[in-house]
Amino acid sequence: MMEQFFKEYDLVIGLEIHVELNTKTKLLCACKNEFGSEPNTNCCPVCLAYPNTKPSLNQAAVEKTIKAGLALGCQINDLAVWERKCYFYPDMPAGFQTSQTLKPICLNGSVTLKSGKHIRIKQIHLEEDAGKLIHDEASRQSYIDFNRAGVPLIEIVTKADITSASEAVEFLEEVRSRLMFAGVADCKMEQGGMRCDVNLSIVKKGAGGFGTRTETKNLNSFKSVAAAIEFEALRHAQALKENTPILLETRKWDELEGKTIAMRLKESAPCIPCPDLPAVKMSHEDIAHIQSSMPLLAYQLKEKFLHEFGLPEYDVGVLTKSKEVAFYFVECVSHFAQPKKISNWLMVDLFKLMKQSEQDDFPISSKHFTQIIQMVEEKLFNKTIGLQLLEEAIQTKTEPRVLAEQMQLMQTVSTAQIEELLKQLSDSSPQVIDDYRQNKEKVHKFLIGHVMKHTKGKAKTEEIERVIAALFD
Amino acid sequence: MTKKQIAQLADLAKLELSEEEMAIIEQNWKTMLQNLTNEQILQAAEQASSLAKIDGVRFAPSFANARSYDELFKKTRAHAFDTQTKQQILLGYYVVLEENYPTLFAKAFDMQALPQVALRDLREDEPKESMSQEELLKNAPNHSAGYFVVPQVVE
Repeated sequence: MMEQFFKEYDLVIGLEIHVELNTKTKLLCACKNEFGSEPNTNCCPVCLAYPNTKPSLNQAAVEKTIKAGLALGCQINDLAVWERKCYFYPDMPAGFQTSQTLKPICLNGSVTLKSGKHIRIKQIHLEEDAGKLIHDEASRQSYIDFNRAGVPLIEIVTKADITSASEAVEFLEEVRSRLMFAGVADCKMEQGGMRCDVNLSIVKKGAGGFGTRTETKNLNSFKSVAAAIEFEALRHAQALKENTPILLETRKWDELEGKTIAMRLKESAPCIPCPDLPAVKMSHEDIAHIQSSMPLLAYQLKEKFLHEFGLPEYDVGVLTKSKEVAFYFVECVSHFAQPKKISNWLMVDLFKLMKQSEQDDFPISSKHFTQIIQMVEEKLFNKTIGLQLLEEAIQTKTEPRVLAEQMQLMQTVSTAQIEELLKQLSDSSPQVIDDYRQNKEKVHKFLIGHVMKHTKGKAKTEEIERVIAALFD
Repeated sequence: MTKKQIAQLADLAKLELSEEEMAIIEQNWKTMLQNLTNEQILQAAEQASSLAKIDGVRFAPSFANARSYDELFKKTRAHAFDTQTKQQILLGYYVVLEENYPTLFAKAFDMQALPQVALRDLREDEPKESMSQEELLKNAPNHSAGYFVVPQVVE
């Protein structure tokens, strides 16, 4: 259906992305910013907007907004000014939302898609989130939890550069990854930590400009963003064909029905300069300091892993999927400079153990993990033993080198012991030696296996090979 | 007001007014608003928006039969505020109307940006004790299972 659509029309999409910052406290008061608390337990007179209360701005929230801006290629304004956006709804007890329109913290960013296309970001501003409403249709009542009221929220506003659902999703994934790597937000979409509004209009192919736009609000998964875009595009096209008007309106996405529903006609909420909060000055030194504390982001790490570490693309993809994995991997490489070896151990063996124990956090420090890999690489013992040691180290939380001593894992079997074992074998079953002389390759393996079995894998393969050659060749 | 009345008033106030100053000028919203100072603009805007904090919905009689939030606020504001307050709200909202944005809002906004604070002087991100749920819900007209409960007025 979309193929036919794109033959006749162009899509013009701009996104507004709301992301909750992972500060410890709310934007304007010292109540906890925490998801999942008992209802109405993280509230105070400020976030409930009692008369005569004065807000005080959270430094970390402004800093994290600056970080978000830097991660998305924005310029940082020298001054951030606050406004009250006045609207009435029971999720906003003050009757206004503290926000920014004229002088936001970040301006003019851009994210480059895989195709090389730039999606421009108009601005990123900081504001407060609203409380949470639960509607009970049966009793016709609404339940309000104000824990979320006042949680710092950034709004990322793009220019209308997006022209398809897939571009929108790719852009959102990149934004999410950068914010998570920059450490400013958890972006848990299922908890409403990242929500997206889609502004969409269509025009006749090649005509340029904009059509009448609709805004679909509060999409909280990439899947629904894509589905809502395609639904709206086709709905607009249908309206143009039938010559029915497209209204400038706000719509919502019905996940079950798979369609958008009109909520209200678009209305602008009046903004008033906020008399409670002074403008925040952000000096060059402040911004330089924040810039210097920024970790590498996924797209930068990908470059590093590919070119500096020489890892294959598959590994790079897996290792940069989450911040935790990528940062753990970088730490490992700083302890033991063998990226590919570590990547194999990490992606195959450690992930498997973590999956078995249904653990999300790394159960072993990067230092201890690389110690084991290093010992195997130094041929102190083989990988099978290395894996046993890994499990043991996870369970006992002991340093692997110490543990290896305790468990007597080091390959300390002497040449004499190997000779002894092989001699015993040739004495008790001399035909083995005859077989060896006739069918070297096969029996060679058997002999090594025999020694390994009796030394519990602690003998070095090269050493056994030398003894075999000396005794039987 | 007649010319004679103005003269009488001026006399009473011990004011000497010229013939020109005594002329009756039709005062309308437009001329009045053009002459507002930045301070008056900000004040009106602030008062208008701050009033929401002591608004009827939370502190005046509730109107359970309202069909929308618009209707609910209109009713409660009509019953909770006196004429002067209503005028102040009206003015506050007028000055931030979109059509007055370039002339009034932008001017006032620049002034609002004058008080400034350095980033490092903002509040540190350390949590403090919040109110207890019990304390919080104590004065709520209706609550259940830790939630505030309000009539559902979906638009």
